[in-house]
Amino acid sequence: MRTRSDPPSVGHTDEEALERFVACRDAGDEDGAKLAAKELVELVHDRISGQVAIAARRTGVPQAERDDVVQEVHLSVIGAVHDFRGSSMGELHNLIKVVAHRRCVDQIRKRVRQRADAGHLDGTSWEPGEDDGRPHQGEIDAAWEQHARTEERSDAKAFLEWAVPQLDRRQRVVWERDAEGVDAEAICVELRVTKSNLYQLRRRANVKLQSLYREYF
Amino acid sequence: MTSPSSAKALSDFIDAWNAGRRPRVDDYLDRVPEPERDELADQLELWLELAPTPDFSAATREAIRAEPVVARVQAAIESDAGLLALELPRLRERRSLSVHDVAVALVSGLALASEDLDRTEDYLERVERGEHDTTKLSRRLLDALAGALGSTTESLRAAATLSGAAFRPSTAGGTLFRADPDAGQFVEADLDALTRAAMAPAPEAQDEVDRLFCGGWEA
Repeated sequence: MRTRSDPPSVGHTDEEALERFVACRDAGDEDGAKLAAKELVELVHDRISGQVAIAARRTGVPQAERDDVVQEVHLSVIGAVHDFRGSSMGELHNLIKVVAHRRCVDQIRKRVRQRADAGHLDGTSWEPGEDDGRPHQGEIDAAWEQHARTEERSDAKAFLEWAVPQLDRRQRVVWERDAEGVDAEAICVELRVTKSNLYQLRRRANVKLQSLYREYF
Repeated sequence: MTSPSSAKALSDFIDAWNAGRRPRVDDYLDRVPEPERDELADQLELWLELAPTPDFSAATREAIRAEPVVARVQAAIESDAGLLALELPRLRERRSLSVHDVAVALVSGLALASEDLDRTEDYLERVERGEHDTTKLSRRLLDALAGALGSTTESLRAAATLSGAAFRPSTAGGTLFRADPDAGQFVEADLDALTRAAMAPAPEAQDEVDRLFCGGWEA
């Protein structure tokens, strides 16, 4: 069903890399485990960068500091993978989102501390967030607490198994084809809709899934 | 009500993601009016959590490997020196600090004696050369180092624990006995060595600088 015109893909998914890593780790194959871990780093990098970009916009982390956050999320993922006993990559995808937000909040906290220290040292009385459009400490804490509550959310795969059947037929087809990597033209042909109809179906499917997501977790 | 531009931005992102064209979140958020960005960000966040792995070509994978963050993390996985050996120079250079400057900051921040400066600098150089086991660094040291380098303790600790050695299978616990015919000779030689070690003068106790660099997390 895939209709791709791009150059041939390498054909690996992060889930396969994770499975290889776990198999090599459990077999005591150090070289294999390293190779799989490196492949996993490549395959999740854009997902991490995207989640960090979203979290950074929400928390006010400047562009210049995002790479540090991206690296920290990579390290958290490797740490989690090292002891991974989970059932699917979905748990790691959720971890990426949560850690990206947490690290951005940490980054802002660090800036708040540094500004406060600087204010203390030069005798001024700078209050975090009062003058530069950055969040107040209370807002940072609230944002962090909100994500801390979702910390234990885990398996996106289980969520999708529950949620996707609740979409209406056309939304479900769009979501499933997107998840299979089918391109937009092919989905339009299958559903006999225009591109702009497809855009709306995608958006509605996403909005519905967001609502179900909040209900599920 | 979401505008057509927002729905199109989400749709275009999904298409680009699935085709392995590496869409950047910021580019797509910038395409929609400000009031709609939060909603689009929510939708992109959900997509990024649930989306399949993009269909990357070999050339794209090469481009991802060439990104500095990916290159650093992958190099740390391969090397026994670990990520901190790569991170320290990078963070130093970003603040235009020499190893000596960082050592001075540590001596001051940790209230060490001025005569500890040379050894602190020496330890830092060994960390950067990958000649020091960074899993032995103490929390106090990493706190001070984070302050000096504009990083966080958690970040430095994560870098300190990532190295190729972390992927090495742990050895089996306990003692393995084997009934070799000449086992008695080996045991006798081992006992001799242990006896000599027991009679040798005890090594000098660790001082504060040693504890900071070699004493482990709680030192």
